[in-house]
Amino acid sequence: MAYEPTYQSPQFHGGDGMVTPSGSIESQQGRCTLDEPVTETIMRDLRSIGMKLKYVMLPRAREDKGQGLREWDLWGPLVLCLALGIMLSMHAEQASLAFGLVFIIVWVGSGIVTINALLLKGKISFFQSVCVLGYCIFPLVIAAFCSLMLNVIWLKVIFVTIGFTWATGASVNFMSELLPEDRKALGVYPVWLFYVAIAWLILIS
Amino acid sequence: MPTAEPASFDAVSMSPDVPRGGAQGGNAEASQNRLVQMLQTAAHPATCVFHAAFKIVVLLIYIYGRYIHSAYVSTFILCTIFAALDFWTVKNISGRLLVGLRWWNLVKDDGSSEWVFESNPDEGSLNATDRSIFWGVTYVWPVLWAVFLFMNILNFSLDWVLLNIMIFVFAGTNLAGYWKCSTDAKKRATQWVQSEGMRAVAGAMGFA
Repeated sequence: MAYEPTYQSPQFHGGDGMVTPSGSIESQQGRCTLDEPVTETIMRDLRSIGMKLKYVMLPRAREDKGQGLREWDLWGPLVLCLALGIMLSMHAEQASLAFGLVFIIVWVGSGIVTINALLLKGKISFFQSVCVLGYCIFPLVIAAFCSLMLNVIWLKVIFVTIGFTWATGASVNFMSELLPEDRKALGVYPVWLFYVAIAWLILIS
Repeated sequence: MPTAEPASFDAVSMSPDVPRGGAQGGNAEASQNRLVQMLQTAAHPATCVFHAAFKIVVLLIYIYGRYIHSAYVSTFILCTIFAALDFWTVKNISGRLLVGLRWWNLVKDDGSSEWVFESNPDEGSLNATDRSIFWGVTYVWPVLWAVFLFMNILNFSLDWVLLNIMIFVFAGTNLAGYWKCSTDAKKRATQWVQSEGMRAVAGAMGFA
């Protein structure tokens, strides 16, 4: 899942005829990942996840259209989805239903939103889009956590609304950038709907 | 590091620590020793252990949570966490160290992405134990979860089907990625299939 910097190594050749790249692989950071120690690999991936989470929370995400999330990885969405599922199923009567619902909505939902964007002839990479949608759940997860701590209904509404606006703001810019002009609204509406669904799940739990 | 090929190593048998009849204690002891001996011929014994360890933990948690003490949410969470850790370990660590293969996704500057599969032209010179353990476990794991998935579909337990699908996707992705990387694995696999086929035909003719 994690993106690895490539390395030009004299011992290996890439590809096997079925897949495009072969031969010259540019070394992006000049590091050899083949023999690197395990701790180095772990820290690299952890740092990448942390950077992306921070990036989602900053307002800068709105200006540069989500460029910091370009090197996608699906760890963030997985962890956030698990965290959200745990929080929402803690006080639910049917815990397994709540958990399964969160899981399905997050993954199937982001899949459908991405496919919708692809069908609108957007220039989107599938996994990158799922990554952005997943990472942008982070504000909603924080809102869910806060509303779990304080069980006052109107505070919950405020938190979830703030989380929802934040999440939608961060991801809508990314989506609309990659869609053709006349179809922006068609592509952006499902994103909004996706976050509404999650916000609604948080509110009714 | 010793690289001698153990004489009686079967590339596909993956549970050397299962006692094979006879006195339980004595055989368990013997198979423990076999396991240790096998690991001693490996070039990266710790990696071999981790390659299988997370998978064994996932399997144990699943069996416990599904059949013994039914608990959906905690089993799902723990299995997911360990399956994800296993996926990461196989993709980033054990593939690289045990068989020298890598695969990843490259995002180019214009935003398009492509999958890169690095193959190892030198695969014959890898440690045989490493290679057998890596490929044996990588082949068996998705098959196991396909079986569980099928069983749960027949039972209509759709909540467990969700978990099975997820772990199967993890397992299958790694298998597909490394399959594409390895010309050698393809060759060996076709040879194995052919030899099994020949054996089946010979057996049928011999008994006919």
